[in-house]
Amino acid sequence: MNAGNLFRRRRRREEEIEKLERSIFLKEQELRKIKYQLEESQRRAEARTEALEQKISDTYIRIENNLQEHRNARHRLQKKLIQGGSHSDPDFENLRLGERLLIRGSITAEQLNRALDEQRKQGGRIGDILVRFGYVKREQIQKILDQSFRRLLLGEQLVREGDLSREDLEKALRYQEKTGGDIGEILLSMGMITQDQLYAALAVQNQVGRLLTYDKSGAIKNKMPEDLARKFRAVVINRSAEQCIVAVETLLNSKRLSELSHHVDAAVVQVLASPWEMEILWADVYQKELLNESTDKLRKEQPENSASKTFTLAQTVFFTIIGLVTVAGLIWNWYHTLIFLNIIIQLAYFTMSVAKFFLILYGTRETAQLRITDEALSRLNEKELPMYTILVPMYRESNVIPELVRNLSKLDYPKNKLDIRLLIEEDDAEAKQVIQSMNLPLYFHTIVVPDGQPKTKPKACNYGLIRARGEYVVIYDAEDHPDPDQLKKVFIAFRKSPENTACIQAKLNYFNSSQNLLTRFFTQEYSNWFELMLPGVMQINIPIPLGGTSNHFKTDVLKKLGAWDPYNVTEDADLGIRLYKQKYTTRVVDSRTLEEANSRYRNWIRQRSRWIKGYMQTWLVHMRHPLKLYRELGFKGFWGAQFMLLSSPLLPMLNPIFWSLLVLWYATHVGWIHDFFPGAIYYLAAAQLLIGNFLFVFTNMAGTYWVVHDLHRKKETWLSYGLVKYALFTPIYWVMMSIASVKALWQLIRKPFYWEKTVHGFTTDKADHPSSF
Amino acid sequence: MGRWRRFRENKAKRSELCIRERELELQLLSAKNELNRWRREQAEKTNRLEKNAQRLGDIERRLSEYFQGAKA
Repeated sequence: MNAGNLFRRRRRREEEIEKLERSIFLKEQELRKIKYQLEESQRRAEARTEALEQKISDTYIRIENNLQEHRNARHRLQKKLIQGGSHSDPDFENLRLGERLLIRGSITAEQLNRALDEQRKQGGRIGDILVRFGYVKREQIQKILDQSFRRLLLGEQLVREGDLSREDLEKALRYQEKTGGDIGEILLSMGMITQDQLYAALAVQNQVGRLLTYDKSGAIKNKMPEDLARKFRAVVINRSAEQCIVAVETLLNSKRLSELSHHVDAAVVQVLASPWEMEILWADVYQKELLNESTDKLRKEQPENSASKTFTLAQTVFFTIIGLVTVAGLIWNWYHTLIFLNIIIQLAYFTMSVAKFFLILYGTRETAQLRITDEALSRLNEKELPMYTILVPMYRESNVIPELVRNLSKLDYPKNKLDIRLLIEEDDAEAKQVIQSMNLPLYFHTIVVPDGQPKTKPKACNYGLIRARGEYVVIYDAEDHPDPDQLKKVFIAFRKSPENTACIQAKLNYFNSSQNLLTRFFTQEYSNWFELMLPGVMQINIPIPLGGTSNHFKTDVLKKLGAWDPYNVTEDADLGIRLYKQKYTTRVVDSRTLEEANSRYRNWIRQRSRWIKGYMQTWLVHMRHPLKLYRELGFKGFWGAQFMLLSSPLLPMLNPIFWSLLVLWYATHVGWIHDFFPGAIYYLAAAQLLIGNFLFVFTNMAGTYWVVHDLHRKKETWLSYGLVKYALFTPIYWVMMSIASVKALWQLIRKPFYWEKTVHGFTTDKADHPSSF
Repeated sequence: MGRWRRFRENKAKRSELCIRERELELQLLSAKNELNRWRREQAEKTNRLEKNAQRLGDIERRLSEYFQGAKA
């Protein structure tokens, strides 16, 4: 290394240190600022609290004075009450229970205020609260309780409580007119009220208690079977011989209530819980059951489809026999054995090249993707839109959470119909802290996935799916930027598709293609795969290995299929095959999700080797009974699955052998290489070398050109035609794939379920970011 | 040798600074959380007191209206 290089490296290190020092200085400054802000706010708050308390105390005195001044009127009221009923007195009709008790002198203004405060926080009936606080006896208020009280509508109730302004209510009602849905959910999604305010108002409106006030210590001891709890969406929190207290998100009607009573053999009392409280309660009471379902459901119910076992005994025997036969063949006549193997390989190469070329040709058809026009979108009646669940599994990606929240908030879909579930692993303390520090909109829910093996993305997704509320469910990765209208497009696409369409795959691409050569290659590969290959696969209807994200499912079908296999490291590809087995179809919609392309070599190898390992795993799982698979998939499906699953791991593993032979031939012209390619095999291999390689490079070019052309037509400029030329360097990318495939094979044997984590958040150039356009 | 020592010193310093930066990041995050939590709690408290004052004002008004009606 020369002196110039050394100097530059030293300078770079020193610059790094300076940068760190500067960052530390700024952070210390910010920390001091926050501490100062805290002290300053505390000082201001004390003064404000004091003033308000004084105001309240003055009002107590004025009310008491007022009551004293009107003794005669109070006397007349007592008489009315003794006579029973006051329906003829409109003034009295306007008074509420607490005020009537106040006028009677049964309680003081301060006691009423405390009880109302409690009711506001926890819900329940004011009479019960006053009795519970010991301010009045039940008999004292019985007569008044018998009088009629109007039940207010939820919005009115919130306005009366002062939680909502009349203007906001009207705005929300107008929105409800347009989109449909519950007014409570709408108010929440518009940020007009808090979850506590909504559930307190609902509890008052329905005269039931709130979960918060009840003792939950008996929840685990008295729990019902999980399937029963799920059927009623109710969790027992306590019970005695006569009554059983259950927490519910939505109050059960009388029929369901009596059904539940029959099951628990006691009278059922409902208390209201917010979805978030319910989520926590559910996780506390049924953690073991939820964890079992997310890790073991598929393994127990459909062991033949689970990758929990990599090689079956029959497969081990089969591969051993193949190995032994090959070795015996080499010993017996190594020359002819190698020629035989070469013939098989050349035929495989040829078939795969031709198949790929035809799939891409099919993919260029206009009908290959479901295209939803702007007119169709504008005609869509938002009232018809169903609840949509978005699952976002993440692990140690706290740095991208703020961006994720921004991207998902941009989705053009009624927010009251979104159920976004951020799936955080139990040991990911940083993500928890980041989420806590953010004021997330109320349609975001954080689900903590309990620790346990296997610790994989599909396990987290299964966990999040169990209590998903959506009719449709989609997965996004933490760094994803879906097109804002994607959910609406998918909804229309599902409506336009046959009933057996269970999954719609959106196209994936990368927003940081220009970061370096690796991200350019990766963008070209994805452009080819999602813009041409998968639409082609959809056209000829063979199994589609789904992409890792942006696959939209019908929730009930997904659950029926057993959801994702937590032991498979490409659970998406596996699910594509299982969907096909059950005669469901998958379609590709013309909508994109942009992701962050891996920009670092080692990180890329980790990701790619996991993918290739997953394809091998999936192939091994579904090829446990080849004849049965053939019957299930049919001729086209069977050979399509072989092509889709085998081409990814096999070609990169074989390539280095033939590259070495080629280099050796040109370097030495040794005769034995020539002998391995006799007659027709030579022409087949030569055609593969020239035409096959050309086709593979050309399809990458075509895919890239295809997507850039489409973007320019739509006046989007985040990819340029300049990217197309890099396809000429694709062979470099193939070398990397070969390295990854060897690693994948090694891992398949040593650590089949190990999930090699891809690190995100390496995008350096903010200009790459589509949101900056 | 001097160059090597300097390299090692720089490396040690860099790793020390990285650790310090990380510590500060976490402190900052926890201070922000604390500030947000406190603000939320304070806002809830103030909100509750304001609601109480407003509600009592309402009760006072409604009682006055009732008594005036009763007088009439």
